[in-house]
Amino acid sequence: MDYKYIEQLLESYWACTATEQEERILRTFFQQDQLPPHLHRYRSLFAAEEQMASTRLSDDFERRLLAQIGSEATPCRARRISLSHRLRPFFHAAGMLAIILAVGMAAQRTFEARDERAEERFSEETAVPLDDAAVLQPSQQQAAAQSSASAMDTLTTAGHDHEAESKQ
Amino acid sequence: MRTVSFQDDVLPLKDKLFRLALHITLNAAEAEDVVQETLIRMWQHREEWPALQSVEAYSLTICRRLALNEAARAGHGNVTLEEYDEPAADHTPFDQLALREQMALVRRLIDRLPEVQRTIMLLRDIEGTPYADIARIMQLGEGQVRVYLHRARGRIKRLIEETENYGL
Repeated sequence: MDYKYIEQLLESYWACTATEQEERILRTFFQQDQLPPHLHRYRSLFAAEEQMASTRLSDDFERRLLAQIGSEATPCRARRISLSHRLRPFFHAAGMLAIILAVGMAAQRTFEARDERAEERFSEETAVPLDDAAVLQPSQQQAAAQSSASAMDTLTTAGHDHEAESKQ
Repeated sequence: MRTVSFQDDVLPLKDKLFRLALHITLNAAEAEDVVQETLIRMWQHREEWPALQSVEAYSLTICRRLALNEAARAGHGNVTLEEYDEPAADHTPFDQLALREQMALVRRLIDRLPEVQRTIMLLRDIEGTPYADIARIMQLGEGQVRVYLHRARGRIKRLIEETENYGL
């Protein structure tokens, strides 16, 4: 098998000109069990580095740290809030207002309709025909006719008297 | 605006911070204290997070400074990290044993590197940090970072080759 590529990568690794990706390829290569003898000797370096990378803090470190910082660190998590998220309370308020208005208007209409019906019923019960004849009895009609004729007479006699006075 | 959360963006860095602190202080208990102090400081300066170019690079910078202070205060010399190794299995095949010994040798050598070389090697080879970020953390130019890394890798390479040529 040809290891020229790996040898080149190793050379640029020693010269510190290898990219991060090239260094990753080298590390992956040296993880395999079967290595050619001339490259086998560098295995200890990459294996030691791998081992050092796995060093971790004790498990209860985080709990002890948060206890020291105080509980404020946990609930105070910063969150990204979008505009629609931020305006959500206003949308809720607007929605509630719309519902209240709609219910209010509907109630008002119902009451108005009920009032109209009540008015109609009241006017039907107390309706008076515009024609006087429908109300006055025949005897009353006569009396009324007489009273109006006498009133006319009075007026005309008064008119004549006035004319006679002015002639004299 | 980018939102940074302690739980999602800062706390998951704890093991990375621990490995950095551990390779500077060379003492697990002190390294854990350093990580705790780093994360508390990060929490106290949480209002600065959105303005940071990289939360990770910032926290690693704080961690390194605190670890250097701790190492200087404790004044311990070249204590190796072997005490932190996992114990070997009882029935290890010979080649596995040889690899283990070589790995321990490599780790001892990494621990004996000057702090700047050791930290740069850890950030690049174990954490896979880009050169630009390493330069920011170490407050060096990218070129200088490559020079230090080249020296560190060169030393390890020589050690591996000498070990193979002359035996352990």
